[in-house]
Amino acid sequence: MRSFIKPRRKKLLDDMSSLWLAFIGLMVIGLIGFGVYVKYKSSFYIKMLEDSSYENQALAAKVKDIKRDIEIYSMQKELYTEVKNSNLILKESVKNLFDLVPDQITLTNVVMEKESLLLTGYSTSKESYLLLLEPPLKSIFDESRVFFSIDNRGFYQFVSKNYMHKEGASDE
Amino acid sequence: MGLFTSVKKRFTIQFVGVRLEEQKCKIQLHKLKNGKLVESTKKSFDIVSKDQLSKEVITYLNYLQDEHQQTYITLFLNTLGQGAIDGCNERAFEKLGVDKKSVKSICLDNSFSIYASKIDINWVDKVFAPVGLDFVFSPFLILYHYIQDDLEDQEVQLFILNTHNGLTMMIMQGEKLLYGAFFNVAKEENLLHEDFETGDESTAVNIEDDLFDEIEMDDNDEMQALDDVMEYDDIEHTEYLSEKDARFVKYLDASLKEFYNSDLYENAFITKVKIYDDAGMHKEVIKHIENELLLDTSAENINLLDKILEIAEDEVMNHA
Repeated sequence: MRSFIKPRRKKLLDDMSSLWLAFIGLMVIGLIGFGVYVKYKSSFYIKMLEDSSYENQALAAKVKDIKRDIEIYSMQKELYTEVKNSNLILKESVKNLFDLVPDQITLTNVVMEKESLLLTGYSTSKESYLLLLEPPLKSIFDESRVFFSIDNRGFYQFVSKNYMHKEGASDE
Repeated sequence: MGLFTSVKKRFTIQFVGVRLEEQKCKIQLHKLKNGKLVESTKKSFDIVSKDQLSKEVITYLNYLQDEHQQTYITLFLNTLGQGAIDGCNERAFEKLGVDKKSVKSICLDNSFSIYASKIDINWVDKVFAPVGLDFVFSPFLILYHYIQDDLEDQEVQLFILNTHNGLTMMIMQGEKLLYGAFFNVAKEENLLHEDFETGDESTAVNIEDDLFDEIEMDDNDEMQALDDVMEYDDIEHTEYLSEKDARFVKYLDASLKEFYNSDLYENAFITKVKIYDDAGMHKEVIKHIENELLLDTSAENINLLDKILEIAEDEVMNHA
């Protein structure tokens, strides 16, 4: 330094230019900031969308499960009704059967199947069976056969086999 | 080179050199672009006194600074409270009775100091407050720049810088400064004056030009000798020399006398005189030096403000 005083600090730009430059700089920073914000927000929404779609898929799978459960339950319900109905019918049939049997005849064994009926028992006479029991059986079943034998007490012991050939035929 | 400096060079840099005379303010303007001079302008304004820049000067300088941010204003300091001293340490200042605390000094080439009183620098600051100021250069610095090419080993040479209102002297032996003095030739300076004791700036006593201090300390014989010189000059030269030139001769004679007689300076005989002239010196002055002092004298015309700007440009471009 060869001068008695120090030179004043010089600015490269005048005040107006520096103001403009500062303003432009601020704008650029603002824009970049806004850009970053938008980018962040959009990535946030994209992530949310992805999450939602996963959730959607999970829910759809759940709905499918529930639908299957519903099917099972309704099937079970149908089954239950069917069983209940058939039990009701069975009960009815048994009642009807016992109604058919006259006092002179005593049943010792009844085997009731869907399309057949096996009766064993004894009666005081052949006729009481032939007259009182056989006609209703014949009207119900397609085929009705009977075998008699006499036991040591002098009663007529019988075995009656009845069949239905037709499908879906009623016991009545 | 810093980034700032290299960017700065791309801009237009303006250097304004200012020299204050008693009634005039001389301004030289250099415009540099990419380190090359693209414009050089000279202006001269009338001023009422050195203590105040005129409105025109202030307007012009501020206009220049509005035009370019990079404007450096440089002042050539021509106040009396300055000098040059051999050596850079405190003892060198003490020896010549200069209070180092009240001056601002610059050590050049680790060999000698140039100094200016703080009062003068404050005064400059005040005068230039409306425009601002970047560099203040001592006349000794300018003279030292000029003499670089003319220095001769072991030869004792007197170098004189003649500016319009100032006389700067340096007696050099090779690279060594033997004697330095600055005078204002524009108006009468009473060398044996009472101002220094009774002046309103009492602190100025210690820091006025060392020559005055010396003379104050001198014994009566020497004072008489000085008076003789002055009388002689007054009688012999005022007839054909201007007042300014007469004073120039008078002060020169007085200082040479002092240099030869005072114990404070090393004994050496000046063999050559070189004058760097910015003021258009009267030929008779050179003649006088040659005849009366029996010295081999040469003169060179210079442009002081150009040199000042050259140094300022170097400071900004290479030392910033």
